[in-house]
Amino acid sequence: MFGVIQTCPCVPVEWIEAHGVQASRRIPAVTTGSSGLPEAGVCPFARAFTEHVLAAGDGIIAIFTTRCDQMRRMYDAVVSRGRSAFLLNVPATWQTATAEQMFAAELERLGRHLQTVGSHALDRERLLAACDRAAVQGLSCADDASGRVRLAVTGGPLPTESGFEDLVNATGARLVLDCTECSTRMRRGEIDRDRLMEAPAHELARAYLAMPVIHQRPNHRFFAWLERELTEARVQGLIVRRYVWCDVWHAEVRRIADEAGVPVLDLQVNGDDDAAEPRTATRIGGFVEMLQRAASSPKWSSTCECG
Amino acid sequence: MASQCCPARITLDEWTRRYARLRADGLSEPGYGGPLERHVDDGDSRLLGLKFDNSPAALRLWNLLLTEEARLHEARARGATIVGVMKDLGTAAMVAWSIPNVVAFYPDGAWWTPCLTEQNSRVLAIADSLGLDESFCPVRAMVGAFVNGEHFPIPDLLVCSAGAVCDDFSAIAQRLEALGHPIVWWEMPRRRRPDPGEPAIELPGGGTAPAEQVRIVEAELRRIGRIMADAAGASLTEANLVEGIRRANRVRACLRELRDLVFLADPCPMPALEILIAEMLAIHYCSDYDESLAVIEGLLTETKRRVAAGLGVLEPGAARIFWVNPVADLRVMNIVEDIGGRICGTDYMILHAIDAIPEDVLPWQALARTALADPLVGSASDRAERICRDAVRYHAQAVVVSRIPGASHCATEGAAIRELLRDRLGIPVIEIEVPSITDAVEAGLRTRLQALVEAARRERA
Repeated sequence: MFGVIQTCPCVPVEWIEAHGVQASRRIPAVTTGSSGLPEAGVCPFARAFTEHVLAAGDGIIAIFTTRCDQMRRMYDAVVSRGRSAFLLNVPATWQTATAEQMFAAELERLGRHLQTVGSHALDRERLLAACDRAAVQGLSCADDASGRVRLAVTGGPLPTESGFEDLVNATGARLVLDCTECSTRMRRGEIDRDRLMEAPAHELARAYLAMPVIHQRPNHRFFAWLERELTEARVQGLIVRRYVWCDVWHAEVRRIADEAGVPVLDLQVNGDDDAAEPRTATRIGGFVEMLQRAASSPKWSSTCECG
Repeated sequence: MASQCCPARITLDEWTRRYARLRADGLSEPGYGGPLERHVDDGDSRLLGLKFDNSPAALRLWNLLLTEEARLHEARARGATIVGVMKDLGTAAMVAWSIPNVVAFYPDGAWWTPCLTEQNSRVLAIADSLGLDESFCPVRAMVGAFVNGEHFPIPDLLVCSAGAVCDDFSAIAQRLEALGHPIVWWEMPRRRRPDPGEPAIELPGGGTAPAEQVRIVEAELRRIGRIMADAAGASLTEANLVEGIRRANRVRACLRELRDLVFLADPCPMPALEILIAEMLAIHYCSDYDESLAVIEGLLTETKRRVAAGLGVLEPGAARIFWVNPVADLRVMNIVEDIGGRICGTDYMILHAIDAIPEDVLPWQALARTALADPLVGSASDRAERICRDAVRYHAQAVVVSRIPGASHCATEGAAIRELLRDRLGIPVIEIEVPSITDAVEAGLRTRLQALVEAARRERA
């Protein structure tokens, strides 16, 4: 039996599992290396995932999504190299019936595709069970009462091997909120179990479209979610960790800084390897020191740290 | 007669003298006509460094282009509903133009403002201040234009496609909305090839798409059509749309005839810069349908005259170059011709605005097919296939893929286009990056283009 790998949280793994296929979310570490894929102008994470797909053995289907142009075109690169892949058209709009219809039709198409390579048809009971069990990965982000600076991080996918949380801890701060693409923000809405049985693709599409995602148009739900969660977690500083050439997050940094209500560090990264670590550590360290000084100063004011 | 002198590319100074002679000879112009140098006084200083075709038809083209902002302000003053359509480059504007008393334009066109004003307009500086720096496509100038309000009037309604669009434009448009300009978003799915056995529909330009995707786009176009009509306090009937399609097709047919004539003739009868601008007229008629049609017809008449007389603006046998993507700096079109090349075919990302809209199907479906035919909505390999077909048709000897700085699609599609064209056609293909002002990199650009021209000539020999 084949397996499926994907990296986008908008791919309903429950749907894949309901067809009897094991779905595995991969968030590969981004290392600077040579793979023959273009580099200039290409998001390093999109490239890393694509390299991971190309290196995967036979019997693996990679699912890409249309959430960003970079990933959409990496799918083209994979297919042009003869690898098996599927491009899931995830709508950018979410407020219309057409968006739900489109996404539902895409899930059904994915189901048909899985069956052409050996899976079974949709099993509704299995779908229900998968929905009950679906969990979201993310950083540990326990609450912290030690008095250390309380940080949040948002932005693109954050590989667990990136060591990001350790870097933050080493500066004397503590990550108390994960708002990245790997966090509980990327959790689908509640499932209506009756509707799921009746119209499974539509109900799953509706639930996934309820995610507050930065790529959506309009994307004000992301900002509302962020503001609420930052307040609830008593965050003192927010790191926007974005990959170079990721326009989706880059364009929103200024707005995030304006609306977050806390100081923001714009952290552009090119990779997660040893070469990148000192720079990242220095940037975060400087940000934490600024927050520590500001917190101890009677003339505390919220500023934006960008650049 | 001065109006029919030998075709040539001339400078702005030369145009000033020529204009005086044309006027003395009784040149008749529309209300927006006049000497080109007045546009320099209005801020378009890049004109000082360009070369222009010397025909009255080209004069009319340039004057139409450079007076668009004034025309939009006049439309506002007379109470027309102004709709800013964004990203899809052709179809949504056509829907809007079918509604009575609506003027539609693409604010995306502001991406040429930094070039034309040589950055004196400060639109890019404004974009920088909003966090949209030079790592983004020059279309970020659009945000600057909205913020300073010194260019086009702020539209009454903004409509923007989302989904299979480049990341930077999508992000920039979203920032625009966050700055207080509400946008009606509509979904453009990424066009895919139909699965085996799946009902498929032919698209203009030669591709196909699943019937299901055509239905999605049709539903979205109907929705935005209703919204635009409501904004205008008018109704958009199917009869309006049929007439709108007929009118669009009239412009498109004229433009296709012009392109074919120019691309296939030798010597080249009309410069690349004028053809680039003429193509752009198709997407929203430069805010004046009748004048756009008249301008294209005028260029066609002049081109026919030149071809019949064996006249051209370049030397016979100039290296035939197929050009992919529009240039952020118009001057590059001059440079290609300066170094012995000529443009023999184009894909300026708007072929779906030039292909005929089907008139043998219901109008909304016809428009959905047209929108889905957008070369950037599908795969790079689909786009490359069409470029390959057109390159063969127009006997291209070389291809230039012009990268737009910061544009997300340019990062990877160039390689795909290059590989396919080299394999299929065996002609030299290069990628170059063209910023909004190329002065600082002109020497390097010239060298690369010169090398391509020489390689093309060697292949031919």
